[in-house]
Amino acid sequence: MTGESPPSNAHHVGSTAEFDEGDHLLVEVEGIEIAVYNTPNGYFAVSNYCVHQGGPLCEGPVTGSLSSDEDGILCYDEDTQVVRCPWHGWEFDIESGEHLSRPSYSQPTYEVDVHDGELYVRW
Amino acid sequence: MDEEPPPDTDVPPSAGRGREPYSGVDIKELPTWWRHAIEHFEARGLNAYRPARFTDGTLTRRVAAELEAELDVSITLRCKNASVGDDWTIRVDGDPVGTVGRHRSKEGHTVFETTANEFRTNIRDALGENR
Repeated sequence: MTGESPPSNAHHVGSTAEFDEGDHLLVEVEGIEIAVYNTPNGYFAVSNYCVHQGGPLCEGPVTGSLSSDEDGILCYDEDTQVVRCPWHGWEFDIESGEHLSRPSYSQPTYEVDVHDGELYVRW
Repeated sequence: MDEEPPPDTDVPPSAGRGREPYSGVDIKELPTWWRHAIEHFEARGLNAYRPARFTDGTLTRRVAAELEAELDVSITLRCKNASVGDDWTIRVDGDPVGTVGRHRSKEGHTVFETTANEFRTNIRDALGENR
């Protein structure tokens, strides 16, 4: 999205020029910490307070994910980016916020807009 | 500054815990940013919001807001590709003016590893306000 004014609930977090694919930027916005990830599938924003016990989720490592095919063989999926909380190892899909093994638990995520090269997170 | 995380439990917070630290506090009397953050966390099922603070306990956003109003600037704290133990960058109107250590306490709030007065001095020095 370019050329339009950001919506009123959009919070400026940085510029697309600041980070390459694979990078992430942790910012404090109005007292709330949010990470914006530049993934192969676009920009995604995740709350930096783990839904489990409030750990600094987005300071954890980012990897692809493991899944099994119809024959039960494990496959490494680079397209599904996962962040792992450094406190207790809870893992969440960066795009959806879903816990990898317990989908009923979900980490808050936010819409990310790009306007003229500037990144905005909406809530 | 290393700090052990709380013991692992398999029990995520319930929505009812959203205001646990605020018993006896009139939420309406808190600054707007704080009240909004409490509501933000409640709406998303997170543990109760606990604002970031400096090592002397002063709330980071409160000090930043005071400086922003007084000096007519925007102050942000951020970290690119952050991992545990990394310093964060202090920016004034988008320009980096220094770094600060940071960690998440086991109670769930962020601690910026400087005092409020040191932070104020750093910002004023960066803007030439202490000359």
